[in-house]
Amino acid sequence: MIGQNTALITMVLYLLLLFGIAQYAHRQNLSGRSIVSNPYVYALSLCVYVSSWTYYGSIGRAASTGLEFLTIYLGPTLAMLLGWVLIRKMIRISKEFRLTSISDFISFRYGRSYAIGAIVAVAGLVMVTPYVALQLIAISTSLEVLGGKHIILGLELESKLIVALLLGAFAVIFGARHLDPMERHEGLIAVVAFESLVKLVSFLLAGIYVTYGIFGGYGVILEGLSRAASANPDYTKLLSINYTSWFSLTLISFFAVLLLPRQFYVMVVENAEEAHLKKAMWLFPLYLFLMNLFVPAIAWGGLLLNTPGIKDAFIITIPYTHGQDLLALFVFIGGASAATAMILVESVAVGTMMLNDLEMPYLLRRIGSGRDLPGLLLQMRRLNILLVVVLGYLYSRLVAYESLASIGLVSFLAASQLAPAALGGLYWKRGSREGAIAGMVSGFLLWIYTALIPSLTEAGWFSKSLVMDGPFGIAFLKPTALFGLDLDIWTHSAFVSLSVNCTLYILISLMSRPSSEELVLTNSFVDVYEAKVEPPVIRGAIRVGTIDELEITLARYIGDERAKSRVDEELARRNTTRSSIDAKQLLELWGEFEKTLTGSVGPSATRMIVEGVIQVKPVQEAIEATQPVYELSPGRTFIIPEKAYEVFTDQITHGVEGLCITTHDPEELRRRWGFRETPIIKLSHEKGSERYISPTNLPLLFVTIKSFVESSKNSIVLLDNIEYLMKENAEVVPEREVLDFVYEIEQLSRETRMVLAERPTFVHGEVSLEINEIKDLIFSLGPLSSYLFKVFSEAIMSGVNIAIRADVIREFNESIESDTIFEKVGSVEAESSAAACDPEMARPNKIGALNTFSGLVLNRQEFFVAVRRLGRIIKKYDSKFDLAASVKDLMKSFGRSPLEISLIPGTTYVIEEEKPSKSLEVFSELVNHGMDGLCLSRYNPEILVERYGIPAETLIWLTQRSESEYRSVDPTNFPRLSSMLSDFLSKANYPVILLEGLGYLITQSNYETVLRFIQSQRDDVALRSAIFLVHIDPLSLDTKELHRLESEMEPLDVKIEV
Amino acid sequence: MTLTIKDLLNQDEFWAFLFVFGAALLNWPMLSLAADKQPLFGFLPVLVYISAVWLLLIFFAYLFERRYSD
Repeated sequence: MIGQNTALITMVLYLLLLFGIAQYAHRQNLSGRSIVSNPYVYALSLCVYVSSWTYYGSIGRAASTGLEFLTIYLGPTLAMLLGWVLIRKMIRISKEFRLTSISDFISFRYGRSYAIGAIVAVAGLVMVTPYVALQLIAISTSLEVLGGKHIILGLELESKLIVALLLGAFAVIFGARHLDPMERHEGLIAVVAFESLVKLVSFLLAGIYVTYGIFGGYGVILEGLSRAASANPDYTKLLSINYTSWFSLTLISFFAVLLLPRQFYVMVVENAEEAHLKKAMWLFPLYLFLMNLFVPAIAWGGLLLNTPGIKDAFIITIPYTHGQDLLALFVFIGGASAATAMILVESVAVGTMMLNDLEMPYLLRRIGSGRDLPGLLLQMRRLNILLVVVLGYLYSRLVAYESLASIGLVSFLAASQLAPAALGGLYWKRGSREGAIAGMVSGFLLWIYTALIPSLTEAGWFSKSLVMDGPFGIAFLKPTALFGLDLDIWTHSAFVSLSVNCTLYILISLMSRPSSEELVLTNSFVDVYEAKVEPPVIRGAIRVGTIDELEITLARYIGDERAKSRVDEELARRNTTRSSIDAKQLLELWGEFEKTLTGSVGPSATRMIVEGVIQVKPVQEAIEATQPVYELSPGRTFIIPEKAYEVFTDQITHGVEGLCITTHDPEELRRRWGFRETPIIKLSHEKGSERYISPTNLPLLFVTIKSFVESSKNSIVLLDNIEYLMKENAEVVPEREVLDFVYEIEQLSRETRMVLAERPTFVHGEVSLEINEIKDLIFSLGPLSSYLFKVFSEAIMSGVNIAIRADVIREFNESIESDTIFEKVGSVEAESSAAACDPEMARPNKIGALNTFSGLVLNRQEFFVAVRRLGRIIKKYDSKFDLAASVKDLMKSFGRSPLEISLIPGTTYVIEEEKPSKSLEVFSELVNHGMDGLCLSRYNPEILVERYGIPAETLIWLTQRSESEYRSVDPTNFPRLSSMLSDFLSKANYPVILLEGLGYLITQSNYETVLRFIQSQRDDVALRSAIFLVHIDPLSLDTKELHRLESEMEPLDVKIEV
Repeated sequence: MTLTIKDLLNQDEFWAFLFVFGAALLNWPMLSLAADKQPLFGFLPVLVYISAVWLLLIFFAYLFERRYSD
């Protein structure tokens, strides 16, 4: 007698062994020594077809209905004969277009249809739930045969719950490691192949024992059965065949082995090489043959032995009742193998289907791009896998095993409904989306009526009168005898559902016209073997953009690193680089990009992403004969609170190509302002037309605007408005994403006229109701500066040692309370309209417990002051802390020089070097990153422009020659010099001045005059919060002179990275 | 010109034919030739018949793999 817990413990140990095998296979794969990429493992993985329904159910059927069980294996054998014709094509298509499930496969064929993908995904979940339940019940039942009910501490322990939890975790670990389901799961497949071996060996051992150990040969069993049949008519039917039923079951199992989610997954998705199929074409049918070799012997032998218990369990009951405990335990493990392999693969397959074809398209429509999408998608995939197992467990609690015995065939019938659309679509180009939908929907509805409901009636879910008498007593509509057809239940259901399915598929396909997108995909699909298959690039969605945009968009869905490596891979394949790629190659890359996305998020979601990239071509409205009322210089950003549309209309009716992005109704705008051709994009979560963009889809919005701007030579963009975008994205996307968007928009405005229709209260500083040119949007609009501070402080704090973090936070918060961090922290409501109108926005933000305020408003100088103060606090606790290094990358990402963080406004710095190279490099770096600069230099400006990239308009040449095309000043004319500097300081926002040529000034006048000049400018610089850089060649001055100058200035200690 | 077995196995039409042929052999009326018969020498004729056809189909697939393995 096997102890109560021995079987369960054995099973748990077996699962741990499987875990070890999976882990080993995974590691071997990572080290390039895959144990799974070989044809034997591939063929054994197909044997996941043999689940516990066939392991136990075949024997039950053989003992109840005779030889019919063989059809479940003959169908797949016949299917494998078409392996090189049919299955190979499925593999080729799936690899080519990165299709990762049967729902992807069918959806892709019919124009990446969301509806079809959703239908198949839902049907997949419906068909596998009872199947998974059956596996759990089979394990539970066989456990009870061996050890009785499990009672621990007086409580009945549900072994199926333990098994479900373990298998769910296993499937998540080895089936959802990565988002890209095109990455093969070697661990999972290794386990499936191993389990196939275990179940075959255990079955054969049991068969050999029953046949030769108990009965002394097959002939003895058959003779015994014949004798029993002559005495008992019930046994006669075991030797006879119902040919109609035989045919339909063979047909159904033929379809099932091709189209069940788990079969498609192992056969197509996990296939490493097409050549492996050749081995599988004979090895898989041979496996099935061996698996069934002793089924009649065990089934009929069990009957002859009057074995107690259910017939399905004969394989375990017979050895157990004959004292063969070890064999019984091994058979139990074999049955558990059959069940666990099925659950693992099915949950992963259906989990992927649900994500790609149900959830992903929904997410894209509602949420837009969201945040950390790759991470979210991976978590959802894992949850789906667990859901499949949990649903199976819950279902197993609701129905009895006997009722589930027929569920296997019900599932096979459900899978068969995919056949016309899937297999027809492989070869028949006229098959259309409408036909596929009509066929599948009708087929599934009839399947529910003729197969699912009758089987659930047996379980007591429906009244028996429904099946016996028909609905409302209408016999003509009996679920098992529609229109009076007198057939067995399976033949009846298969005939009715498949006939209607095929008929509608063909008829509706012939009556409908596929879209151009569908035609392109159909040709790629059906003619996949043709010489060169063009990637199914949909003409309407071709973008003439840059490689960086492509990578950015891809990264949103699969992560930055994977996107980068995919792009690098494709560039290397085409022997090109990011800077030298041409339009044709970019187009091809677009096709590859679509495939990569398909592999990650499924075809219907990819289609939404691709189609979401809105093509807005620049067009000109009819030009009016008048002159434009408003002058807008290109390359600038304007805030126009009240007249934005009027100004916009004025521009576009005078030759400027416009793009309008608005929250208003486009048709109303057209009526009111007279736009006819100008594209209008509405910011909306709804999908009313192709010209809607979700306000939370900032990358798409940016990419759309950019492609428009780049394709026009003379454009204007009206964005109404950033305040709305910020409100919609609050709490939805990270602040960094909003900041990036605003920054990129400002950069883009250099190539267009960017008009922002903001409310005056959303803008900091004085704003008229007319046209206001604006710079530095991040420091000018709403709470953006507080977002920026939050991002910076998070970046800084992430580099702080955990040991001192608490102290830093405490001191920082105290400093905020005492107004020594933010100079204007008390004026949140006055300064920020966003805070004023939305109290939510004035609450403190927590940055790892740093208190800041989302209503905080800082100008650029105040911002850097606050950041430096934070840096000083950290330096008190960590002397090695380098503020500049910690924010270097962040500064660069916002187009600021990292040097800026080290330069305190109002300070005069001295740079001592023989030649002024460092000085000029620092100056160039600062002015090219947004600071307003003025450079007084002895050098010829042309050299400075060419060698150091210093903008010409910032240069003043210290020379007595006046005929130069550049601004110049006599080095002896100090009043003029002072006046130029003063004038510059009064107009500049973020001024930096470089004085190079001090030695020349001294030579032309005298040291004392120059020193007085420096001292007066130093005071002006301090008053205006500018930065003054003075270059000195220390060898040109004596010690006392140098010392006197140095005393007026701070030494500059910055590193230049070229 | 006579086709070799290899040439035959390489043609999609052959596999389509074998599929139909196999399906025909494993269904009525061919199946009825062996069904409903009493055991002969301890073996059920229908089981022997089905096994033979089954193994024959497996053999053809095996031949294909042997002839076309890389």
